[in-house]
Amino acid sequence: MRSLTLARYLTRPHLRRYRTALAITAITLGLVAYALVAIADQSANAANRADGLASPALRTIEIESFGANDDPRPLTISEVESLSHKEGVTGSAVFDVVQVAPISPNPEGVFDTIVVGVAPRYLPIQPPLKSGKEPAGPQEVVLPVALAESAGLGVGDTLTVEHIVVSDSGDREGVDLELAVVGLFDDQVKGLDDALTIYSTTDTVVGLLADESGKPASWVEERHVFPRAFLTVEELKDVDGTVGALRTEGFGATSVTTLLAGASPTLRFLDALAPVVWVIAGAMTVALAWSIATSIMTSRRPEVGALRAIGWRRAEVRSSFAMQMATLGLMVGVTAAALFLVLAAVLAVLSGIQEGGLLAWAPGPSAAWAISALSLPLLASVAFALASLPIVERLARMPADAVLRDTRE
Amino acid sequence: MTTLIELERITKTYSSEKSTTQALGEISLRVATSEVVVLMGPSGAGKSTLLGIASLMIRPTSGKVTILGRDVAQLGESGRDRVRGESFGLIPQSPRLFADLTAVQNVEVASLNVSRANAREAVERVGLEHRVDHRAGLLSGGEQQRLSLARALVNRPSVIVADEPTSGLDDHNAVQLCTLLRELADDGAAVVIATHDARVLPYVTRQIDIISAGAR
Ligand SMILES: Nc1ncnc2c1ncn2[C@@H]1O[C@H](COP(=O)(O)OP(=O)(O)OP(=O)(O)O)[C@@H](O)[C@H]1O
Ligand SMILES: [Mg+2]
Repeated sequence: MRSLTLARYLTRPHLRRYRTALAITAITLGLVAYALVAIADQSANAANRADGLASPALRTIEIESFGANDDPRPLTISEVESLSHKEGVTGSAVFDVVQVAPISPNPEGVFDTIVVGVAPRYLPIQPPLKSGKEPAGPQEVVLPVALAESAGLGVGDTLTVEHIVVSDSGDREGVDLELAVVGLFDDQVKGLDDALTIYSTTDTVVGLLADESGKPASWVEERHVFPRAFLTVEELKDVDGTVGALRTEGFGATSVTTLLAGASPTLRFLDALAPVVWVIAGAMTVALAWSIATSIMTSRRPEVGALRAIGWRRAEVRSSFAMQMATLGLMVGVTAAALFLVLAAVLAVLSGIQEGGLLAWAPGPSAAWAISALSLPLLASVAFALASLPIVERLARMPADAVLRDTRE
Repeated sequence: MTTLIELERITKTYSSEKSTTQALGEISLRVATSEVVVLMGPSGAGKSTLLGIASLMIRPTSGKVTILGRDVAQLGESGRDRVRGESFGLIPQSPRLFADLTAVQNVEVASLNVSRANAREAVERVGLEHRVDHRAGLLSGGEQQRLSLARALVNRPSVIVADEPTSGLDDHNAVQLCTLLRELADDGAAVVIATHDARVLPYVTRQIDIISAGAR
């Protein structure tokens, strides 16, 4: 196969002659591959972090009784529970605030003039605990850290409050109620509620509502219309669809995401950056392959003319030079892959050495490393062969009698 | 003596949108084994064109071309390439060698089924045994022209075709090249040379004068 033999013989001189351009392409590809792996790693990290895209708050929808229709859909416990059985819904809570007046601890009289609200605990939209446990049993509550500190209360203490009870005779009177403090939550993290809200179980809140209205708890569950409820769906992409569905069902619905405008501009920037980087790197590879091919094909025209005259067929010229371009691309890809691996390994080691330092973002070893190292040679080779195709074709189309028309150069 | 090339009443007119050039008037030519035929004539007379027609690089406008007893009118592009590769050895006016390949590599890639040993033999045959592994770009003009001859003869062609093979060569090198061409003919090849260089005349069997078609 003389076309293969020629390709073999010419590869080394071509590598030597175009080494600068080839090296630039290889370095670019190696760096770009690394940048892409690092970007993908950042995105994946952010998406999996609870304070990032994985936060259930972004997947939570606020529901109200008044939808687009004239007649409101009552937001009762049983209605909301029927909603939470829908596909993709991972949890829901009704929401109402019962006002109570703390009466302990006295003698300092700290609570003399304040009123706090008791609301059901719903984790996706409320601050996490600092200490203790979540409220689970009757009369168990969690307090904001600041409130607990000013009252000198801690986990395990009892908070006595006064709340309104309607007696059988219909009179409203204040009654002391003891609440068990089982946890403290971080009031530095912004939730959707007032600073003076404490959280308890839905059952406890329903019990308080029942006392206030003088009706049994079962009545509250069936009839009490809550001002709002929350619903969390499994995936971020389901939010819009669920909001739409709730609205057509007669509820008012708002995605919490829209309340937190610009949840992660950096992340969205990185995500948008990846394809741009890809396109630029691809275009640069193709442009360099094109210019190298043009240079090779122009400088080899006389020689190829002689080959055509002594009987080389067009297909042989085509395959020989296509092989040469693919080989150059392969060399570029292998160099780029080697560079990528060295860079990735060095940065990963450095980021491990100085924990949380300047290089903390450097991704550790992953399948992406192997994929990049294997695909770079292949992609570069194919890119070189394809980019040079039209130029190789022009060379192959050279007429055999061209040698008869030229003079010694 | 077997007739290898038979051209009957050949004409060639090059035509493009802008102009038509009659390169060859009606001409006939026969070349047999062991003959050295030289096509002589002034510049533009059509020598190279005739050579191109005889070696299947150019299709004539009219006339019949028979190569090794076969009418080639029906052959397509790659069929002509194949016949030329198998039965012809071509020496272009300028050697057009791969400057960064060695002498023997240039010969090796020239033809199908050529071993390294065959290629080396051909290089030695033209007196370049001391230059076998030198890069072609470093050879002298005369050496390059002889290497071009080695490339033409490596597949043991029946016909050697040379276009101005002595142009740019000094007397010593011209004589060396003509002697080699004569030797090949003596070994049974047919040799056709297009030239206006009188230095080849002592080595030829037959001289054909080509008169410019435009002049008639
Ligand atoms: N491909 C072509 N297209 C158009 N005209 C051509 C072509 N090839 C040759 N000619 C014309 O045909 C005529 C004969 O050309 P040819 O090259 O055969 O002459 P030549 O005898 O070899 O001349 P020289 O001694 O200068 O090499 C010239 O007038 C030339 O301009
Ligand atoms: Mg000529």
